[in-house]
Amino acid sequence: MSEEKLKFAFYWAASCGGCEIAVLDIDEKILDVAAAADILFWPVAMDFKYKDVEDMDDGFIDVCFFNGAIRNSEQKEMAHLLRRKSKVLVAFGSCAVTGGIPGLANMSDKKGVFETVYHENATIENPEGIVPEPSSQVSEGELTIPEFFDTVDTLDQTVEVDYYLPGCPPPTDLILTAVTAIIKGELPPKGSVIAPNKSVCDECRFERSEKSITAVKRIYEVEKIEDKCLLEQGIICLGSATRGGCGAVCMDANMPCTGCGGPTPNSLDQGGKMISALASILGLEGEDKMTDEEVDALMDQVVDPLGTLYKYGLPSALIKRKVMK
Amino acid sequence: MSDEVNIHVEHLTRVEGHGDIFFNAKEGKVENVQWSVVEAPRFFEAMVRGKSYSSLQAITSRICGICSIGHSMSSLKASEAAMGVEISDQTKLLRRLGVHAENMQSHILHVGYLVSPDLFGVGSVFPLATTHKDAVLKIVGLHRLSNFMSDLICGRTIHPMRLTIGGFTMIPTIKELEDLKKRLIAAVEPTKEVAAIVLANADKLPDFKRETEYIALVTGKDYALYEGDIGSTDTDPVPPERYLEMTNEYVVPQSTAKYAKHSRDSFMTGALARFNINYEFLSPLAKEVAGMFGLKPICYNPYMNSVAQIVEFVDAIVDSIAIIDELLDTDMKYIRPKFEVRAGTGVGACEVPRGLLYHEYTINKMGNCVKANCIIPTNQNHGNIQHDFEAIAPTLVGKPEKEIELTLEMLVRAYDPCISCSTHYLNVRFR
Repeated sequence: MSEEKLKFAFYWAASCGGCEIAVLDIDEKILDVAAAADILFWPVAMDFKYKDVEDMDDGFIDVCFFNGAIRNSEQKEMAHLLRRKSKVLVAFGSCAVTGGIPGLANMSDKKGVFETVYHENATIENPEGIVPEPSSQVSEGELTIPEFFDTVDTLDQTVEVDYYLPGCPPPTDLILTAVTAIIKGELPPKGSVIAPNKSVCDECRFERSEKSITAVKRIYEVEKIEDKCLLEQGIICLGSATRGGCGAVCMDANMPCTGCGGPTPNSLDQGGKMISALASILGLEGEDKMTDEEVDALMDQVVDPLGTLYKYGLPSALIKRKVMK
Repeated sequence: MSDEVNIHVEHLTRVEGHGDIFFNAKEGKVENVQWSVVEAPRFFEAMVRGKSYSSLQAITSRICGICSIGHSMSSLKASEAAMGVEISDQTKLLRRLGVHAENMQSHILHVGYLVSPDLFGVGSVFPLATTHKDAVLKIVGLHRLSNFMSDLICGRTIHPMRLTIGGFTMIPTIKELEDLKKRLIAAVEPTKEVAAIVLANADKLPDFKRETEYIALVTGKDYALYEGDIGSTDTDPVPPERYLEMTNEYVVPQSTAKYAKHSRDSFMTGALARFNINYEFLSPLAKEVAGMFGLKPICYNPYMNSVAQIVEFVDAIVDSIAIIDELLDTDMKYIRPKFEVRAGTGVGACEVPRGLLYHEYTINKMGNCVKANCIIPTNQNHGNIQHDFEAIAPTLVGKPEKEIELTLEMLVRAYDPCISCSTHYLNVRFR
């Protein structure tokens, strides 16, 4: 009854490949998936050619799992093509959902990035100042390469997205939940995030006691991790501002949450929510009498706020990117 | 043959990233053969500038989800070298287990899921689940064991959290290590069976040779993976701090790919390079498996890289068991890393599944990274793939297009290029 089988596809844009590997990590169950659905293409594991996709009817693919952010013209083209060919498009993993680590490049732009990599880098001898160009002439003809954008975008800033599966990488359980729901035809309303409607804090093993802190520390500066809320030990932990579903695995390894699950339900801006959490927990006796400079010094303890509070989500944040002159 | 043959394989699949192959022949002569990579450039060296030492591992881990443990190791070693942080013998042993876990995971994935379809003449691992169910389940079982080991040592297989500057945030218990040891011992037989299945189909691996230079870490006393000097089949070893002498990256205008070379036009790094350089330090069991395939150093056939990966998988099991015994013999104790932030520059070199990976950081006295450089194995191999293409192409003229295409695709796959790692590639197309 192969005509009744669902048609799945996987694709990757600006990502590390971890999302593709995460799918393989469901191990034997991938064979169950293959029994319920035909996998049309999956670059890391199965052969397909670009033209095969172009030749498909619109809506031919039932579900396309798309990982990676959008940072060049080729990825943008693929996002549009796969949107057209797919009934359901799932943004898979932090890069597609919120921009991910590649989105940190929004703290610079094309010019800044190229200068670092092709001129200033220690390994580079580039006296002529060569940088990649979208088009160049060689003896065989014209060579073209995709255009590199100034700004990294999320998938839903590029095309309409039906479902979101966050995480860096998405937890195996959530992948199984999503795939099972699709196979059974029990999908939530369009636009849903396929993850629990709770925060990482709700899944964390550490106790919270609503205690305020007087100093912010990096994880390395804490002599001994105690068996209590990391934030209340002065370590910036994004658990309260981050959607759960991961089972708080990082805290299980004595590491703070760095926010890969994206914002919590009903929260507009993950970093904004964390700033408000920090503002309420950071407290000093007599702080109301402090000068602005003293308050600034207190807040300066948060090292690299943009990179810390928007590590996986700068492109989807209200702030989106650094203003370049 | 007067026909014009044009092959353009857009988005070569079953490699970890995007790549294109171009081949055109006219009147029996190869006019152009080209390997190019379409992967999106991500420019991590620019992105970690200004970032705190405490987030460098977590960010650079995202260069690659397949060898994120390897990137973490090189990153931590670079930070530790820059700030003068010492690690304990126990930490080193545990990190070596982490390196083995990742090599096992990546090698079994590559050989079992990505290369074996070529040997069986199918498009992916899925048809094999019906025709060779037993073999596929063995491969899946070994993959699961590797992931279990990564989770236990590093916290997670993809983007590990337990690895930190100076050591670990958490270590396995003695009972967990004993359990891991049992599972590793139990994996020896299935591994040999998987090797035998690959061997039965190894005649599909083309018999092609091209002399080149091989580069891998060396210690002179073991099959170096976690640490060592940079060794070569052509020259004497140099310490990791002098890695730039070995890589010599350069830029070309029509591509964002940086190329690397050392004593010749190109060199190879990875399982076959390590095998060729450190063969004498392999365990007897690993040598036995190499013998099954007739694999001996120095092997100049790049297609044999996949076989070298199987040999390394076996050796990783044997060495991991030995490391666990050593850990169990000592009084294992968790000590939280402690160090001072200090300004400095440091290099971290580590063998990862696809070859030698370098990270170099300059950290200022505030603990922020002011300069970073990452040289990825796939980038180092890119030139060698191209030269192999040029050498093999003339032997393919006149053969059916499908066969040419498959032979070239298999060559690229043999290198196991992790193109997602190669942060400097853009698409190159002849139109």
